[in-house]
Amino acid sequence: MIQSDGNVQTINMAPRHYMVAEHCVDVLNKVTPNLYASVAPLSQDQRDRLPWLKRIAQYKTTDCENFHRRGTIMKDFDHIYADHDDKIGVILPPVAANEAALQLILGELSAALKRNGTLYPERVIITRRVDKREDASLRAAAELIHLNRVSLLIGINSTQTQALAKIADVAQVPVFMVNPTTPHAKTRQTMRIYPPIAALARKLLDVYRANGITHTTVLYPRGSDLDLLDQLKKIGGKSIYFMESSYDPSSPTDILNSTRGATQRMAMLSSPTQGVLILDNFKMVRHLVNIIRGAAGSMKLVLTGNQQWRSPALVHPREEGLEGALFVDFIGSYADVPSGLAAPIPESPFFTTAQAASRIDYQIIGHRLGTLAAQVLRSPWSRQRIAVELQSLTNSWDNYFPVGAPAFDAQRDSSWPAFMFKVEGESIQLSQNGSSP
Amino acid sequence: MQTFLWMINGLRYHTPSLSCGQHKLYERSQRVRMRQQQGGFLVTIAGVMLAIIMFCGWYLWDEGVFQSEEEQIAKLTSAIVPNSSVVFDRNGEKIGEYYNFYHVFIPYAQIPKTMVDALLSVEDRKFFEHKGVNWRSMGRAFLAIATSGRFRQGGSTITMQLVKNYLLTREKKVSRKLREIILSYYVEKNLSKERILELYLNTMYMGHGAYGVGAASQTYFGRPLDQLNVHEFALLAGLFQAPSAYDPHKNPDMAIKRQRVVIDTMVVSGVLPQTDAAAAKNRKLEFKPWTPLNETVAPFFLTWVRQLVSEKLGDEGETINDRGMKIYTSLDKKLQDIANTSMQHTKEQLLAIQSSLKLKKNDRVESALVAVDPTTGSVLAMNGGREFKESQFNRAVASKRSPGSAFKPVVYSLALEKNMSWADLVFVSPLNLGGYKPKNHDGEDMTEVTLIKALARSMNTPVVTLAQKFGIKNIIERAVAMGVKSDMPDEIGIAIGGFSCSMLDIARIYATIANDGVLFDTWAIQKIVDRDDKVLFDASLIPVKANQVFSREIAQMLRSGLQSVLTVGTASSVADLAPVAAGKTGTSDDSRDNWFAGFTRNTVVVTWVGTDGHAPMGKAASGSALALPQWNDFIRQTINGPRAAEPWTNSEELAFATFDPDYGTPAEHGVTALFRKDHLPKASQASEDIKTIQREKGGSYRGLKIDD
Repeated sequence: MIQSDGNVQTINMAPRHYMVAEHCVDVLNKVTPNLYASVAPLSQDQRDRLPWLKRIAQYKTTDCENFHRRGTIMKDFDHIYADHDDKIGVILPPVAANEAALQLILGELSAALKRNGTLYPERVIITRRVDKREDASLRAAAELIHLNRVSLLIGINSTQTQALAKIADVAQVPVFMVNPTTPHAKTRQTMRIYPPIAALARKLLDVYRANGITHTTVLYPRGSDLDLLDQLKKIGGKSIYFMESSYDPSSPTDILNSTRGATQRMAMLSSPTQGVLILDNFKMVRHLVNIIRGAAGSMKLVLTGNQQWRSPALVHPREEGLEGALFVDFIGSYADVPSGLAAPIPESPFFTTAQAASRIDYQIIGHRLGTLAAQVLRSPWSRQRIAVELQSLTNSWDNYFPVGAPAFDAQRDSSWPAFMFKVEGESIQLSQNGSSP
Repeated sequence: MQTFLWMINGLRYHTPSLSCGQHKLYERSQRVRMRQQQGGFLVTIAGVMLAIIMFCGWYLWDEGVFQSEEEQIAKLTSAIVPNSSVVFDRNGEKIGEYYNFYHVFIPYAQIPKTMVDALLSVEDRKFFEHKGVNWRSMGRAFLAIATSGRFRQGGSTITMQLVKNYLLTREKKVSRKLREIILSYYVEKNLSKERILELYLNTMYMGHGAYGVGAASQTYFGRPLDQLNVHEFALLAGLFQAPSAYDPHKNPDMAIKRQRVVIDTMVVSGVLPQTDAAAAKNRKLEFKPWTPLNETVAPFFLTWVRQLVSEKLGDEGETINDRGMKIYTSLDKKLQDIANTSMQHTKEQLLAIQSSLKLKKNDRVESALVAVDPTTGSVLAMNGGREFKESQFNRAVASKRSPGSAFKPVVYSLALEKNMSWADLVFVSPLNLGGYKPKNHDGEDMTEVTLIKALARSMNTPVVTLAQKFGIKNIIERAVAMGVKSDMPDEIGIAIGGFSCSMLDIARIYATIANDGVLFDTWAIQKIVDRDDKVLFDASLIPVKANQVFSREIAQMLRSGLQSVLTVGTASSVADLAPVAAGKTGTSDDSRDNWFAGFTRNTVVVTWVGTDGHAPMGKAASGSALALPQWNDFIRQTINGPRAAEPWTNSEELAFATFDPDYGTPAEHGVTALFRKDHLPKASQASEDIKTIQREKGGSYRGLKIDD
């Protein structure tokens, strides 16, 4: 059966269709070009190592009329699109911008596989370090797909992941995208494994709605990722207007002037209550709050932030201007992080040590990758069915990811818990609602 | 008198015309009458004379001419010639004197003979012959007065002049002159000629505030009396008659004319050959511009020493002037001279700043310097202000100003003692402590930094964060142990110098660091002896108080951190000094106080710039901009001159390590400092104990940055 998904033809080949001549013709006419596209990045030598490629080149639509001939054709295509060798292909840049974070993810991916029954994860995970250029990534992906017969691909760098999404379309291979920005492939083969930016955005929007906020000023360091803001705009639609103000984090003068300017613009609006979203770390938050307080006068502001606020140093020593401020995070209590991540809890379960906080952020991604990949390896799913099956998967193996909840949402983003915290004195508390103090 | 003449004339010219017999009889009777009349006249004369004598006697008695001489004479016989109390530096060089009237007492035996000869030639050639009064001279003077009607010639002997100046007033009355004569007679009876000369030469006013030839020699020629030559002795001898009129500074021509008169009289007296006289007249007189020593070498130090002497001697100290004491101090004149030139070298800069500021009336930009030997606590040099003549307020001792960041090493010493190291990271966020919001000087308050960077860049908020950890009480205790004697409020702001203290307080803090953690209290007076060489105070007899404030390892690590201030910090303009020197800038709010405190192994120097009116010094002002130049000028001259820098010593328990000043991790090209061998920089420098934060290079904390 051939499904139409926009402009791209996808196939869903099940054995029951083997005997249908029309289907065979459709496969030859519509799938063969995709197949050729998926092997195109390979070298001639590599293509010569694929015997089915020569056979498929000789097939004609008239061959579909012959029952036996038709069966051979369909078995060849089945071999290409359904069979896999229970391997995981990982495409990486030669050196990641944050290589330490990458190693944390890969380490935990391996550990999670092992915890879930894979005896030798190092034999299962095939890592390719290739240039970030699209052609290099496509070639590496084609090798992994056709020569190594991997079950799924994992990409981290956004350029490389975009290449993987392309080949996922033509080769019908599931791809785990470990970044928040790469658009999904149209063939539904791509799945995003990343902390829940959209869920965090929804939490913040709840806060703004609860306080009747129609205008929110967003302060962020120039050049930073604005995934959360993008999601806020996308989900919030026209119900809320975001006024952006960026600053050069290395220039105290620019920080001061930009923040003062943004605060003065807030004062010009008639809204009685306005939101302020600071997409920066806890150190800068304390700095900006003092500037905002100095310039805001009697304006009622609801301060909000993201997980970068999370640190004991946000509230030690107490910062008066942060009292009642709210921020969202994808980690709640550090006592509940997935087993094996070992988060030390020196004081409150809402805080861990500085090193552990940074480490766990990345390890939890690796953990999520590993546990989902382990499901794939354990399953009897054909390769082109993996993505479909994953979308109906529910959590059942972890206390951090809610048991029974779908592993992926409708947007094919892995579901993660999202939490809201409120600053109270020298501590933070989990907040059930987003009403301001 | 007219009646008397009429009687004589009447006898001679009014005889009546008579015969011969009658005439003879008449003449006889007339002679009898005349005899009778003459006898009455003599009686009258005698009576008048008696009355005059009685009147004069009564008058002189009334004027006190015949009062008891014993009491008066005792003033001279028991006179102690005033002598300035002299202050010496550590090498025995004179640096100042304390006096009400400037005296330099010289015993007669030490007064050059030529001086005496010159004096006697012009003032009293017969001194060794008369008994106090030279009647011939008196007569000459009387005749001169009688003929001219004016007092042109004194006729007084040296003894009479001494009596007049020492015991009598300067009024020109007969009674005073008679009293002078009588007392001179008695003085000669009671004192030797040599003693009279000694008193005369040491007490007579010589102009310009100088009393006696010793003081005059210093005042006019800038040399002791025994180093003068005949032409100079002649000038001094000429001054006795009229010190103001012959003042060589005011009236050099008159002074030289008078000098020539003296030389001529010396020739006439036979004490100077004619040839020598001619040579003496031809020799040029080189006068030294009169600037009192007290105002030129170490005027501020002298005011402090006076105060210390008073404290040490109690009431006796109050009469320190003219007591002839010898006060031996810790000052090193060579270093003080350098301090003075440093002050001059930086004067232009200060004047330029002053002209750019809107200061209150009488307020002006001042600077001060104090140098201390950390190994003994002795004060080596001191300048309490820019110009002593314009302002005598000693800012090095009496002024209490906010030290700003110059105080921070006290807090850092506690941090190092708490087992922190220079590579540890500390929090730099803005703070709001109940309304108190410490700011960093250059606005750097948005990241965590290593301890060394916080120190080198003089950041405030990390220090306040540390201070919160250690507690204010502990900081005050540490500061007191390091020599801060000024009161410190129980407020967190003290951690970044938010209180007032003296320059000596700061000098003691840095001396403790320079001296491997051992504090010697600062001192200035080594010994005091009176004019009879009796010891009144001797510091060497007092046990030395040395306080080991912290271990030598802490001191040496702290010193290595302060060296980084010179290499990569706020004093990097003098980075070339870092191998031998260390230090810290300090700037109080609005740059009202600008400090630099630094040291070599053997010299601690603290400089300060500000105004007495606590005026803001402008945005460009800071410790590094204003105080560092003078420190730099002083220390360079010092280590290249009289006090070369000694090599640092490092404990065997410490080791140098080079690390990244931003992240605290080992780095090939970073900052080098001393660490405990068991606490060297590691790849991860977070310390749980002090809530430090691990910072990731290239990404913000929990920024979820992997490869984009």
